[in-house]
Amino acid sequence: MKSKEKKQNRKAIKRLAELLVDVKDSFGWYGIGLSTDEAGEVEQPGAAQVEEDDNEEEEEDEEDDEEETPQYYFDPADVQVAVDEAISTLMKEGLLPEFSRAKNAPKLSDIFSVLFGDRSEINGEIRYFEKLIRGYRDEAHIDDLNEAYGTLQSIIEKISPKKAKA
Amino acid sequence: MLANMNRLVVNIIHESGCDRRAVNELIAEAVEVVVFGSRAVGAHGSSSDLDLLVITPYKRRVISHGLDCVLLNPEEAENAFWLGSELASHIAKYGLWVSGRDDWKSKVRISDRAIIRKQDRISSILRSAAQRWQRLHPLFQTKYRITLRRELQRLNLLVRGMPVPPTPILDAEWNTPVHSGQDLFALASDHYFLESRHAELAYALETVWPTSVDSQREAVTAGRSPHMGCS
Repeated sequence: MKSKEKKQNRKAIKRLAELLVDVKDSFGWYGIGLSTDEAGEVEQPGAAQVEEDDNEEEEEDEEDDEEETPQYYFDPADVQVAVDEAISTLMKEGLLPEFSRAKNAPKLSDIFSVLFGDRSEINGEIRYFEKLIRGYRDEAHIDDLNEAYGTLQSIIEKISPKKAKA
Repeated sequence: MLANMNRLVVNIIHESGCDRRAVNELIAEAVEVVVFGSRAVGAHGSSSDLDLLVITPYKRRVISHGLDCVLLNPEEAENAFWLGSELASHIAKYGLWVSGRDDWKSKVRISDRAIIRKQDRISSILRSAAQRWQRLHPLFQTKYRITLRRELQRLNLLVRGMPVPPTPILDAEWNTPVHSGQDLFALASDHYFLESRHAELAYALETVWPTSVDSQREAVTAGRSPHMGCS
């Protein structure tokens, strides 16, 4: 029984690694992880410019702030939905029987706890990733999204099956 | 540091299970600290984070388990961007002051920019969820319907100049006979922001929240669960 479970887990983990690559690709929406050419073509959605300057009277708000360096925050909805799509796929493919009777949508960290055990170090990394892409009040800073991308890359490398040496 | 505060606030911080050392460090440096969100009004679930507004000259990044921090420097707390935001109005009404003065509170007024941001948020959810809708498990479809319903409730309050309450209160209000899914759908689809932007957003709204399904209301009401509670 245990070996059957382990085999099932291995299959689920392998599939999870594949699906997380798709999640990683969704960062391209924010211009993250693209080649220089691709990044130039991306129109960044949901970017909110936050002025660093104080005392901003209405009149000063006119179009003369082109030379300021903008600080960009983004709505992280696209990455969040991509994560949920990955979990949905695992559930629909029957790879997460533990959640077949769940009443609420599971989080990625719930999935990791089941597949890797509650005490696995990787759980901390995935919770950190979740926190970064959650942002705060609908906004995530571009630096946090960049860090989330790097964290996800590292997680994928850790959970992907090792390729046999040629 | 925590020992010097009023008992209610100390209990809220202890019960939240967040990293107390991180909270102590923040409080020690801060000019003003406010607990807000569901824990400030006692409407939290067991997994709810502790939400803190920290006004401090030493702004730094805080990512700690169980703790959600908004850090502002004292100048930012006085600027129009902050004073017009959804969050400032929320904290001014529902916040529990841990330390410092609440001088900025009386200057808060919900700005047009806050309303536009909320419209942008709704557009983002609609666009992202609708693109992947058929591939989402029904549990996640329900999750996004709930998210959309809450955001529309928030928008509805903001356009009326009212502060948005913590999520569990929004959910409780939704369960009163005054509200209906049809009302919110009408708010979203009639609202100029859907018409004036992308035509496909109206289609996305119909995909995510079809008007024809009466049982939709039940699914959307499922947000009462503490697990779905706090954002």
